[in-house]
Amino acid sequence: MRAGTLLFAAFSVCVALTAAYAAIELPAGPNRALVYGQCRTCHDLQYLKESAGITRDDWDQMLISMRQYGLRLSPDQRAKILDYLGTYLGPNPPPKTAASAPAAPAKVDGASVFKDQCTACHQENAQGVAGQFPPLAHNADLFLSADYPVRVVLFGLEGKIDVNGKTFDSAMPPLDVLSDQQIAAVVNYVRGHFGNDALAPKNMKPVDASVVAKLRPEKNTTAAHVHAYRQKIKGGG
Amino acid sequence: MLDRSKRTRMSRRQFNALAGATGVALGASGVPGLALADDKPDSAAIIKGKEHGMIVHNAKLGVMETPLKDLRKHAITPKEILFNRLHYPHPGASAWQATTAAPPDALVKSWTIRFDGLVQRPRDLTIADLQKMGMEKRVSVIQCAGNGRSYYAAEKKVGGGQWKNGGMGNVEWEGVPLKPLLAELKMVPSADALWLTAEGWDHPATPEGSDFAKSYHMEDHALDHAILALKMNGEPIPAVHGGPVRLIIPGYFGNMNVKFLNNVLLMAHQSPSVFQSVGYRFPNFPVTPATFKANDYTIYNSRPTYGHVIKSVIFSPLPEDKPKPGNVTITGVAFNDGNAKITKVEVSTDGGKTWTDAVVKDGMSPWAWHHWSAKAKLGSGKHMLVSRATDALGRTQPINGLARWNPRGYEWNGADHVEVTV
Repeated sequence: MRAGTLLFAAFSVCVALTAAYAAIELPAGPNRALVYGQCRTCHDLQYLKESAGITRDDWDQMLISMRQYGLRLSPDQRAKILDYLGTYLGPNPPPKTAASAPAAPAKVDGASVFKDQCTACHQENAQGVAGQFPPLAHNADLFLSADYPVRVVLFGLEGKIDVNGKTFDSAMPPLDVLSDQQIAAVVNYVRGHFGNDALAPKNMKPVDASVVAKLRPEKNTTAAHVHAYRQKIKGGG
Repeated sequence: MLDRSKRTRMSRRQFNALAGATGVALGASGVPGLALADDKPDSAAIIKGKEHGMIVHNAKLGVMETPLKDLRKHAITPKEILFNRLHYPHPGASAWQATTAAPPDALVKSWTIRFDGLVQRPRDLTIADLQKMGMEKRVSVIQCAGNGRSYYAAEKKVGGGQWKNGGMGNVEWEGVPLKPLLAELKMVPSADALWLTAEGWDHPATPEGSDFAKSYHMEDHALDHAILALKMNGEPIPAVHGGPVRLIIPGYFGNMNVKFLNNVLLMAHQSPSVFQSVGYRFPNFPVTPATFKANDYTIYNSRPTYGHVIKSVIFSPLPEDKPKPGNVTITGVAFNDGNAKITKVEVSTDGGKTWTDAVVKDGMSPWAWHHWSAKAKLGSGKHMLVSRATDALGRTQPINGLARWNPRGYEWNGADHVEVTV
């Protein structure tokens, strides 16, 4: 009966959740993932899509405005985002190239994926924001199962959760725009830093890109499913 | 009634906890088929209680406008189709905002508005306190300052939600008049307290972001009609439209009507919030894309988007009505800031070469919209319908609205143009 209730709850959340995140795709291009990682803290990507066609200078102004609303970028991140927006959402976007797989970076670095994809919400020190975004630091939930954080990154997480005695009720979008290697790297990086290394169970090995590759085809998995999975393995409703 | 000692202002955390405790959840509409990939969710799924098929500008922020074919059906715009614009995300604990239902009882009971600033006696008021006071009704157009932004693209596209004309509605508000209330509170303000700042409960996602606030000069006559509204169209203000209490300044653009009101400050200066100092402003002089950029606004070279600039919108025929050749009645609405009577609406069926005067009916109040209609004979082919309103102060709509181009795309009021094929 308990399981049935849980399933029902998961389903109702699921409907709401698809509402919260419109699955908007931006044109493929260098640093698109950085845009996904930084801009969805406050709004979904339709805001960018509706603005498409404005000049690079106008996107620059937009980034000034977004700073006023709370966006914090390093100079390098800002330059990359402006390049993407000015080019692919500018007045003369390059024609769509078929399957232009971005050249895989020579070395996938967990620390830089963290900086580009996680800090806008979870903050650079991984402490999160009270009442808004849970901390990743000193967070034993990262080890709930071997692949739990991979699921969170791939499919998102939405619903009420308890982290270190504090309740959060927020919505994390899927970051499936990242490669298998990037997701594995960032999960291993967070698990190995911010005081998490001490919490790691002895028998839990770093995740491999193949773990991500195996989960990725589960196209119907939603952030609500991940929430239900979390509740199940964490025990307690 | 005004005993401050017994009440402390609720923190957002407490507020979240309370909202959570009452079991408020982001409204699941139960509508199937919302999970379509790379598709925008339906308006009814984003905000529980909204009609299907509204024009969604941002799902996460619940930003949507009303198709004119729906807007024209009602003298008073119902909550189910009224446009919506929130500034900050409202997941999880803030999801009480994402519904047209009344805010939860427990939340209403605990709501406190702090009156503070350069005063000897700060006060706190609850909703129950306000309910004991005399209430007055105000029918007023509420309109997003960005309504019509998409039309500026003919000069140069402006970033942001590409609103058409559906970011407006004609709404009946009811609440406690502001000025008499301030007098009754006997806060003993300093002579330096020249500005009233209103702040709402909503807040940015991260602490670095600017909080939402609007400021009004105490001598602004629009405040004479302002109310702390508790009701919209006869029921408690839906959470998504700013309940449990919203500052309503009839005739003023939407953003000036602060939602979720929880702070009223009497200060020597305007709020430093970017929503007052840079955002939602209009240049004091004509600008071009080359001369003025989106962050060039200062409190000296621009003004907030105060009252509605005079505007008319054609409701019928719309292109989708596919009118037949012969006699056609052209209808629509016109409104302004309420400071002068709408004296004339002119209508053209040939793109502005010739004009006839429409019959204008008085609105429900000076701030309400006024229905107008004009008869015309249309032959087969394409016709550019145009409408232009004028008021007793001689204020009229520019034939070419692009003359008022501005880098944030506010206050569009060009003569309305609708092309129909007969």
